[in-house]
Amino acid sequence: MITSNSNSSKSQPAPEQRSTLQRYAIALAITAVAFAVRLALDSKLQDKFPFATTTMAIILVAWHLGFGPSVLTCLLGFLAAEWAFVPPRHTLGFNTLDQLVGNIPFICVSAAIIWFGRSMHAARARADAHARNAIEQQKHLEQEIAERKRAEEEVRRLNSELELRVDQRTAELVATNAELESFTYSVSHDLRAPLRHVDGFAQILEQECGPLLSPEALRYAAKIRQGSQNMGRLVDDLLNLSRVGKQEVNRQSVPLNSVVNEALAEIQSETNGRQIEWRIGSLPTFDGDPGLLRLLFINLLANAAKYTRQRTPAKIEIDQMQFNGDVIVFVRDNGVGFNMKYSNKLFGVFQRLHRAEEFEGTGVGLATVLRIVRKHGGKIWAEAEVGKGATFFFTLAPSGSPG
Amino acid sequence: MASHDTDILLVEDDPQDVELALFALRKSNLTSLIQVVRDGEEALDFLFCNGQFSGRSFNHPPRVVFLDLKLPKVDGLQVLRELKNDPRTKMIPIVVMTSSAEQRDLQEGYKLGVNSYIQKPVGFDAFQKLITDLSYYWLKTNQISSPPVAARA
Repeated sequence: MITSNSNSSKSQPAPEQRSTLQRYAIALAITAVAFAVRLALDSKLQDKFPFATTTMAIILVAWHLGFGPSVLTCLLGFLAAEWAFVPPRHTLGFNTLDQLVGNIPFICVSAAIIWFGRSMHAARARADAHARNAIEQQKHLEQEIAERKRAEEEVRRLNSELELRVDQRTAELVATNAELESFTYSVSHDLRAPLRHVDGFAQILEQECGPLLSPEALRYAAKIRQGSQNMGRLVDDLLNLSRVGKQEVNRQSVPLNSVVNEALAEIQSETNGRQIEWRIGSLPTFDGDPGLLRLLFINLLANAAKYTRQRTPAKIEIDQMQFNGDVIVFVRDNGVGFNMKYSNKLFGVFQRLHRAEEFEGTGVGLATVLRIVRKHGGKIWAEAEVGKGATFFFTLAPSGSPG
Repeated sequence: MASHDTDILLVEDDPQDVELALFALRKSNLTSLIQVVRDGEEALDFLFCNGQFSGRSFNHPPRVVFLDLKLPKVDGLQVLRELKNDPRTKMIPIVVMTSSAEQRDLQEGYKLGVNSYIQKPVGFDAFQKLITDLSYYWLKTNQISSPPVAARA
């Protein structure tokens, strides 16, 4: 009897290697051997233990060869042993109830052996499967660990690469900064010297040779001097701008009123002899850099003074207002103002909204102001109307207490 | 009181600057003896009475030295360092006059013991006024101490 492989493998997970035919053949052979052994021992055992060797055969077959072959061994072995060794010999003892009852223990024991053998076998198969599973899982785990280690290694490598790159970039930045600094130094030193010469010799020309020169020549000499002085201012303003960019904000508590007073003293030479109504309100105290804030007010106040030159009296107001919890400081003047159309150009370097003949200037002042405000984390903007004046508003990071 | 064979030692490499400074000094109406040297090495030779100035004496130091910082051979800060480190020259007033007012130069100058630090203005009017004021201050107003060598002699 040949069953399909899939069928047998369902009920018998262990004897995978042998075909069904092989298993039945081996079972048959074992049964025969068991019978032969009992037969050989028959003279010694006589009527005792008629099923002993058959039982052993059943155990062997049940364990190794599966359910079907063990049932076969059980049947054949039982019939043979009953026929050969159970008295009355050479009969199959199914005739009396006694004989039938006498065989029941053997059948029960056999069934138990078969059931036990198969379930032991299944248990072993399950254990094997578990073990295989466990091994596979372990392999899997090991793989995962290896993979994770590789990933960690990769992260570490990338990190160190990144660190290296940061170091490189920092070194480059430091070098660039140093270059920039030496450039600024050269500009401040080397550009100013020739300007002094131009201005100096033009003036000596005026002083020493004035009587010999025509009025036209004197006017040209004056223009030479004016040009060199303008460029001197430009160099100074640019240096200021670059210093503001470079400088770190040294924050401390700064009362803006005292900064405004210092700025007013600083621009005195420009406001002397003019009729200006200063209206200075009570200003807050900010956490900021006193030097930078001073420069900020010098620029804003000098601008206000400059662009109110044609007003008598000029009115310049410095005060604060609150808006959405922010403290806004403003500088308002009644000067010439500007067209709001150009307000986007206001804070650009070298951007000017007035002709040089009207109002002198380098176009760097408000760029410097913007940098200072940004360095403090604030904002600056302006409102103006041509002929009616301008107002500059700014905030600084709200870390200070309103004073 | 030591006698002075030089009132002002002007250490300046730029001939244009020298001419402008001399013009300004002439216009200041101060009769002063001015010696011009053109680099740091020459300045040190003059003040330490070496080389072409070996005939000079430490007894006759200039009343003031106007020192530029950017100088050939030995730069101004080094000249300052050597002068202020030597007891024979450390009492000579040194005024650094330079085009730049870089913070690091200022700090270094004052650390080395400079007596005054001035940024040369671009405008000649201001320059001329500055030279006049400085000359009056250092030659007329300021009192100087006799050099130690002279005191021992």
